[in-house]
Formats: sequence, C-alpha cells, structure tokens
Amino acid sequence: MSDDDYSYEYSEEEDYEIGDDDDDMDWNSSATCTIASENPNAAPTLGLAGVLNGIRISPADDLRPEMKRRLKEVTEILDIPEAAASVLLREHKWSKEQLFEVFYADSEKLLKKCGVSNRCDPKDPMKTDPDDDNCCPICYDDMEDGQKMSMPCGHEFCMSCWHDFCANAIEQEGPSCVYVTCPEATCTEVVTEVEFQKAAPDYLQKFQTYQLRNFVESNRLTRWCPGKGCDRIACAPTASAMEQDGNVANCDSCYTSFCMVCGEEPHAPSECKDLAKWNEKCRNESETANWILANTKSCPKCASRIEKNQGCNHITCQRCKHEFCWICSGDWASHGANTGGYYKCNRYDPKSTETNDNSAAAKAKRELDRYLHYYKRYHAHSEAQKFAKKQLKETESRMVMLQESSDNSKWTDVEFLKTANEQLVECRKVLKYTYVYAYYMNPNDTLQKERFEYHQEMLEKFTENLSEQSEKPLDKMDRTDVVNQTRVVDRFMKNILKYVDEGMEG
Amino acid sequence: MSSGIARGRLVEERKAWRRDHPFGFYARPTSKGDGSSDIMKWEAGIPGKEGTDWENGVFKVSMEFSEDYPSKPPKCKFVPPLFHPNVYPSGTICLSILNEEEGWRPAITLKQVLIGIQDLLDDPNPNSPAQSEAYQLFIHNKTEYKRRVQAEARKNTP
Repeated sequence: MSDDDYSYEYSEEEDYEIGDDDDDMDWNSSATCTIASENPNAAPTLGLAGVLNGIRISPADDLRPEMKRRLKEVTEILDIPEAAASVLLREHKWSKEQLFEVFYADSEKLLKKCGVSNRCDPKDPMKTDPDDDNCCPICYDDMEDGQKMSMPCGHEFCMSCWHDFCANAIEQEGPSCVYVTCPEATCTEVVTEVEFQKAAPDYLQKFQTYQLRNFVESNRLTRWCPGKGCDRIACAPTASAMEQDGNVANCDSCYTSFCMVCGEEPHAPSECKDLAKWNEKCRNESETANWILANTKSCPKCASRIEKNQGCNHITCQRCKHEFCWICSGDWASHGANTGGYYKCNRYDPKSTETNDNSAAAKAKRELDRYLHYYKRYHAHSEAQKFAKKQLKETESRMVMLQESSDNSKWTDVEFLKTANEQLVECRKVLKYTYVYAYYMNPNDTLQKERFEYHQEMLEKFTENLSEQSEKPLDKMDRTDVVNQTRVVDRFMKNILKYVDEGMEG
Repeated sequence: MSSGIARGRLVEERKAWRRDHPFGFYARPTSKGDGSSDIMKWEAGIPGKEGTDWENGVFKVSMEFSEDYPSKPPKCKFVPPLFHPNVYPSGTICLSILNEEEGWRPAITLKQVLIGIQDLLDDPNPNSPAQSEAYQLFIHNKTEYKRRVQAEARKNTP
C-alpha cells in the first residue's frame, strides 16, 4: 500500500463541497478536521464505496462551529433569538429545510408547540399574577429586585431557585435537560442556554455539551464513533453520501471502522437493512444456533475434542493426524483443486434437505436448516476474523523476530506479513457478510445465485490458502508466495464487491 | 432545589393553606407520637365534586414529601386505597402532575395538587390504568362502575 493510493481522495474533494443540499456540512470553517484515511494504520483495503465518500472524523468540539453556523443562519432568516432557533432546530433534527417548511406553513402553531412563542414575540409579555406579594412561588421567600428572573413567559422565580432548578435539570435529566420547561405548572416555555448563562453559569458548559450531543445524535450527517470509549464523530459531507449503502468511516483515534449509515462494522456486500434483519434473526435464534455450534468439534475420525485456535479451516488432528475441513467436517483431500474436487463448503444445496413433506414442521425444519447453513459459515468467518485480528497484533512481534533472524534485513523486508494479515482480516469480514447477502438473495434467481456463489467460493478458497500460508512457522514461510497470495486474494475480494455493486450482470 | 428548602416551603404552604383553601378540603401535617407535627408528612381530605357520583364523599389522602421537594413531587396515596381506574392497589395515585418525568413542576402548589386529584376522580384517564377492577368496569360496564363509585362515596361520607 503506497501513499499514492490515497492521493486521489484529495483531488475529488472539491466535488463534495458543491452539494446543493442546504444541510450539508461546511467543512471549510473547521480547519482541524482530518481525513480518516490519512491514517497510515487504516485498513489497507477500504470497501469500494468507502474510498470516495469524503467522510471525516473530528473531535466533538470541532462540530461546535458547524452548529453555531446553522443557528446563526436560522436566527437571521426567521428573525428570532438564537435561543429560540436552537429549540426549533432541535425539534427538527437540526435540518433547516425541515424547519423552514413547517415554519412557513404555520409559524404561530409551531412556535407555540415548541415552547418559544413568547421568546419570539416579546410584544406580548405575560404579566405575573398581581396578587403575588413578590414572593418566589418555589421557596416562598421574598424576592429582592435584581434577585429574580423570568423567561419570556413572565413567570418569576428567585435566582437561587432558578439556579437549583437548572442544576437539578442537568443532574437528574442528563441529556434530556435540553427539553426542560418553565418551573410554573403547565407552562411550556423551554429553558435555554440564555437562562443557564444567567442563573447557573456553573452548569452552562454541561448544558452546552448536552446541546452538542443532541446535535450529533439527531443530525443525519453525523455519527459517534462506536469504538469503546471513543468520543470522535464521523461526518458525512452530504445527505446523498449517507444514503448510499456501504459508506465506511475509519476513526483516526481508535481505528474502528464502521458503516456511516447504520453504525455497524462495514458490511459489504450486504445492505444495512439485510444486516439489521440478520442480526435480529441471530439474536432470536441464538440459542438454537449456539447449541448446534459448540466452540469445539470432535475429530470425525478419532473423536478427540478439537478447539480451533487459528483462522484457517484446514484442520489437522493432533492425535490421529486426520485432515479435515472445519466447516463441513469432510476430508480435506476433497477440498483442494489439485485433487480435482472443489471447495464446496460455501454452497447451500436445498436438495440435500429437500423432501416431499410439506407439513409445517417439515417446512420449519427446512427453513432452520437453511438458516443454519448460512449462520454456520457466517459464524466461522466471524471467528476467523477475530483470530486474524489477533494475529495482526502478534505479527508486529513476529516481524521483529523475522528481522532479527537473518542478517542485513530491513523492516520493510518483513512488512509483507503485516499486509497479509490486514488482508486476511478484511477478507474474513467480507466473506462473513457474503453469507448475510446470500441468505437474503432471491432464491428463484438461480443464475445470479450460482454466479455469486462462484465468486464467493473463489474468495473463500484463496483466503483459506493465504490463511494457511501466513500461519506457517517463520522458517517455513515462503515470502514470495505470501505476497502473491495477498495480491490475488485482494483482487478476488474487490471483484466480488464490484460484481455485487454492479448488480451482478454478466 | 438545594437541601433545606423543603421544610421552609412546606411551612409557607401551611400558612397559605390556613389563610385560604378551597371549600370542603382539608390538609394538615400529621402529628408525631410526641405531639409535635411532622411537616414532611401531611394528611388531606378531598371532597367529591357536587353533581358527580363521588358527591358527599370525602376521600382521605396521605402526602409524603422528600427533602428534594419541590424539585420532586410528593408521593400521594389514598388511604385506604380507592376504587378508581388510576389508583394503584396500594392507593398510590397515577396523575401526570405527580410524576417527576411528566407534569411535575416546582411551582405547583399543594392546593393545585389536591384540586388536580379532585378533578381526576370523575375524569379518569383510560390511558394509564393502575388497577384492573375499576379499569375493566369503567371500560366494559359503565352501569356497574357507577354503582361501585356511589358505594365508595357513601362509604366515605363523613
């Protein structure tokens, strides 16, 4: 992977700033933004759609200028105070277009509904009850002039009670403190930044943070990095970029890759909606599946328990030396191309379970078999992906060993192993999701299904080869072979993604 | 609100109540064993509105205030538990203004709370049933419901 591979991202960038959607992110205003894939440690092969999407990763604070920009615009266009603008935008997922549409349809109704009508129309300030002998309706203490405050609704309370009310909102309501309304019974006036600033400046910063959080969470173009404890935010340049499936963001802080649209791990070739269905299904079926998929297997020949501790599906029993496939438990000899057999493990053959029995029970059984077929393979690649990730971490130490084992070698001489490992992680991931994709494919389109399975099979075969090669002891590893295999498998992976992307024609 | 305002506020509520309160209601702090009064625990009586099936009954309610009052609402319970769709079998009243997450505001007075409960008597909220018996009858058998309410009112006539 050379630096050149990334260079075209910059030249494409101009196009992304042109989008005419008003809710686009204006990145020029934020100088500290970085492009995720500048990170040299990012996965070497991004999903095809992920390469050109212009998604950026920023610290949360970098979004403040963008939020302010939108507030200012709404403030100016609707001629309302900024505090009211923030309430209105919040109620409309921070989309100006949505807000304007509703505002111009019936502004009076909208302002009332959102609890900012008094704030936007100060000509009609409500008078406090003349019976009140200037005592605070919360603590019933007398209110000195200058020691009381009201929002535009006119309900006055003493500063001390206002402070405690704001503090209570932050501490008890947390993120929903931004929705808190006037302490007066049934009054719908929303408490804003303005009141926090005046009455509880010690809580202002927390309020602003919650406001920013609301901005990120309800904004269609932003998403928190799902990495554990990571507080970075991924930002897409336009709405259309978010609508395309397979928009991959790479966090430059915790190195987590995720789908911009659904927040899950990048899942090409399967679509967000299929993945969501699949995950839901797996949650529901997990007990059955777990029962069938124990983490260990018996050797089909000598029945000793075998725990899979590496990513390759080619298993050799330590005891009887029998070689078999982890997926189908069949003899490995029938899996290699050189024996004339094919790697058939990716194929679900309904005939193998087909009967003429059309009873509900038999149908359910067939459906379960079909699901398990795909789940087993999905699960196997998922586990193999974890192994590959672990291996990637171990490789650095292995690299040092390899470097030290021969004289005059350089760091770059052993980098091939790291590249191979990164490739394996990527391939396992894609293979995993090819089974989600295949599960939801139209079962009647046999031609497409066959074509897809052919590509899948090739990718699987080459991935297993590479997996096996790269797990060899250092002294038995053939560098040229690993480099070649890495290249080949990368090509097959890209092919299958491209093939699906193009609608599997021809 | 900061700790300590609960008692001060309740003392003022007491004063305000003695100065003026709606007809037929009563509300006072309970007395402790030693004869002093417990300002954090009140007992109140809510009359059924005239012209409704609840008429002539006065229903006893206990009100417990926490140190967080008036940030948090008092816990209000009918003692003994009342036949009503929005009253839990324990007697606890399900009413939006008594719920911190819903309609409770620090400026709601004791008087407003009690009037709110009186309004609830003849205007139950079928969207938040709290006991099965009264709810089922209210929905499926209005005649029997009416009869039971009138019986409840007779039982609680002072």
